[in-house]
Amino acid sequence: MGHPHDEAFRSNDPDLNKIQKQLDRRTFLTKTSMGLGALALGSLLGIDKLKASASKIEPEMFTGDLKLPHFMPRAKRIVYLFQSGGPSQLDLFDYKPKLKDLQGQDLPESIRKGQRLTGMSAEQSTLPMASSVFNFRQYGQCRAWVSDLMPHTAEIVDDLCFVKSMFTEAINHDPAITFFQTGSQLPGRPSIGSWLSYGLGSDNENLPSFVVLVSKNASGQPLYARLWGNGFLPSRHQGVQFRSGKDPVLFLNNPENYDGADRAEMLGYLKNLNKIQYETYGDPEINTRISQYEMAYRMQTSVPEITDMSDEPDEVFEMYGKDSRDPGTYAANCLLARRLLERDVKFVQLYHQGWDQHLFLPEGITNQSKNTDQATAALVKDLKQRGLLEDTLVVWGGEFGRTVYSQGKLTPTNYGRDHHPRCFTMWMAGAGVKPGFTFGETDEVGYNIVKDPMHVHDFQATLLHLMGIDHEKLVFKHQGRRFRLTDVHGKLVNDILT
Amino acid sequence: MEVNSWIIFFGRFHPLVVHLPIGFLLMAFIFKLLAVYKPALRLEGAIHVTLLLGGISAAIASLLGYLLSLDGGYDSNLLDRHMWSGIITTMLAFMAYALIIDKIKLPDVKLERPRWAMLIVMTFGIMITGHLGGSLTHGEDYLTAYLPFNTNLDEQILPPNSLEEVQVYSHLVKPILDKKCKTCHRRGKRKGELSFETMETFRKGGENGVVFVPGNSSESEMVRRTHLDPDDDDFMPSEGKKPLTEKEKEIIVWWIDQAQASFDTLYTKTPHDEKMDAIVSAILGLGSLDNLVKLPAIDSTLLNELMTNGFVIRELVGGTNMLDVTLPPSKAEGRELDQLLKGLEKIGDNVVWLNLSGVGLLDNHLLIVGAFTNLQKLRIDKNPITDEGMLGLRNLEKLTSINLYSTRVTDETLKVLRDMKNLRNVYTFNTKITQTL
Repeated sequence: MGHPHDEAFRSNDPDLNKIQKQLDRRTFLTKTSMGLGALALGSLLGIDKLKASASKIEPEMFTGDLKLPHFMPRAKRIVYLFQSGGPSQLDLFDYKPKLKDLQGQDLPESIRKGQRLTGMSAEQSTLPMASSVFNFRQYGQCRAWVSDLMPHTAEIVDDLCFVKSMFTEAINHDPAITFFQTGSQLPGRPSIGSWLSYGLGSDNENLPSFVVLVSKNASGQPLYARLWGNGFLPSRHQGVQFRSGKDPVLFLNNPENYDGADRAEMLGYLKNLNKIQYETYGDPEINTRISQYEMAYRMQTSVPEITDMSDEPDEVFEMYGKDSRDPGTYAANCLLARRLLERDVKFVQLYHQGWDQHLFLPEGITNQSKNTDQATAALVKDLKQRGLLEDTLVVWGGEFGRTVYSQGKLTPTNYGRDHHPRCFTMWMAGAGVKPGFTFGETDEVGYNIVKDPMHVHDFQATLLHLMGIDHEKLVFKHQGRRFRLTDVHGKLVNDILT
Repeated sequence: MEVNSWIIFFGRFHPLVVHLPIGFLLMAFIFKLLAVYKPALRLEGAIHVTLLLGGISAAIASLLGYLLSLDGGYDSNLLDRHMWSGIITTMLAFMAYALIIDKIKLPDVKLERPRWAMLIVMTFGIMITGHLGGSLTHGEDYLTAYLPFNTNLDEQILPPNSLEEVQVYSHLVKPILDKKCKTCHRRGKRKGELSFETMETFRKGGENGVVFVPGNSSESEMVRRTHLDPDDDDFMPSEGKKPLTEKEKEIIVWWIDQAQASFDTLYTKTPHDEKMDAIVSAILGLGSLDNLVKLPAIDSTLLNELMTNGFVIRELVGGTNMLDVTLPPSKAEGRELDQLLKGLEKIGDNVVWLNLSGVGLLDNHLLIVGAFTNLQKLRIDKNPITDEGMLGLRNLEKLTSINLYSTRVTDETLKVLRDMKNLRNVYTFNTKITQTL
């Protein structure tokens, strides 16, 4: 130890000794002997994090120490089909026949109750209520209403659990999506998939436990990588985006004209260097980096294998629709999601943009539905027939809903709808949720919730519960505060559980 | 007894006012102590004032306390002791005051000793009175209930580990009574002459008679009172105390109707009701029926060996030793599956979920799997298994779900599966099975 004079005063705890050694005066002076530059380097490398999280790395596979899950899980994996932009619940699932009679009438004060409107329609002189131009029909044994926009989804309603009473506090896209994915409207918190990876680890050492797929055949409000970011959790819990094209994961392949034979050897030496760095600074983030290099190396074989769909028979492509042959489309991503779930990737997050129909809603939403409906339904059916729906949860939904009144001019064939956070529809299917069930209710014009509201935090609490996690107990201490996905809110919605 | 509402109104200021004499009189005693060690502080005047104020506020508190007691509902024995010790303490305070300001001249005695004696006795009086008062409001065991090692083993009921262990009264009803009713209806307080302290007093009911009628919740007073509009005068729990939650109400109603208000029945002996299963599981933090079991501990070196061999193993619920085991196909490739599974056999009793999808499983391997009797979920899809192998799984009685997708099984297999009474989900896509279970 080199400090014979104070040996007696030191703790016998070997971990503590190690940390003390990394921090004591002599070591500090030695390391900073190169001047302030070295000091700055120390902070760049995050030596300050040492104090905050010197805890040992949580076990990768067997979760002995964290004592997780807290209770019997219903789901082992989740696929979240995020419909970014805010799909209009009034034109898809939340059928309001009364609107036919009220077509064009101003939104009555008895319904609005002085509530604030979002910026884009607040200045409108009238708020004419707009009935959906699309027909609704009842389907399945549960007699759920679905509009003609979603004929394939209509076939699987008996497997779905609709929540008609979702609500959020955010009124614009980015805060609303950030809220859904991280539990806070402000950026910087870990996303759902990162929390799950942190809490439950990985079931497949060759693939990340959190994979993100963004449709290439849609555009709209931007998505940011922080939506699948790890926030303050160790960075190996961040989502890994798989892109379409020849490099599904960026920077993974060997450089061109390099055969890669000595790649493993090179990585071995790099690991040794990193280990030395870790011994010196004790920053746990270095361990993360080591494990990510190793994961990247294993992914050099596992990713091409999983993205190569040539082993899928024709009838599977037919089931997901012809787009599914075109990598990067929503349909192809749904199929890829199934392949990832089959290999026990814990959380697959899809994003499909373009549901933000402020104007020209009928045309826009028809297009969106065409691009997504068949593949969404195919994914549920496919998971079901393979027995994966037993322990896989499928989630479909956007960041908020859309208004009953028209934004812009209302004509018999055209209208638009503004953002509406007070109520919207989502559905879930699979592990642990009631099939063929509808939870919650909105009023007769679909403006306010009248029964069983479900807040975003409630949704997150329920989702964690399905994975066997008590949302109040999955915490991470950061900058002196213990953070949770559900912040200080969220209650489990038992009524939708089987 | 009908009591004028003004009396109760003022009486209820007793708990508020009563803290003034406690503070003043203790302060006087502390000042007296301080004066010995720090004479320079010149605390004599302060002692006079605090003693006088303490005496006056004690007198007021006593009067208010008497008014409050007229409302009734307190253990009369305890109440008497509290009242008299309160009155005596008040008198002691005034006597101490008189001694200190030299109003009482004792012949041939130095006054300092009697002063000390009086102050010490008075301080004890405050503590005794305070404790008795606390016992009246919070219950006699309030102070000692959480004393470490003070566990009365007869009364201690262990939390259930599964629905089979749930007792309808002790695990479901009693916790609700303890939490929501017993602040008022208990030994020592007995509002409305009713106490939930013991099963006997609970059965006996209060001044309006029995509070529950077995088998008839609609005739049961405790159901009527708790289901009223919270603004109703009869609503219980009264006075803005936390009402029963929907689940708690459902449990009480169910207990009276379906469990015949029994005090010793096991939950599983009552008519089966899935909705109740869910409520009970949620309230007691259990998995659903049969799901949660505590299994024997596992040797960690054994686990490590298996994981090194390629098995992905995780605990289903922390601390239960129930394991979810997966053998990824990539790890089974080119290996002796026999050897791998034989290794798993050593922890076979702990395997609750098992995923052997696409590992090249053959019929003879199922004999090994068939001995894992705690299995609840089994995936053997995408393997060349036939009906013959399925016979090996006959004894998996706890199985709730089996995935046979893309195997070579036929309708013959259903005969084996039909005997598994817990089996709910069978996945048979892409097999020769034509019927449903």
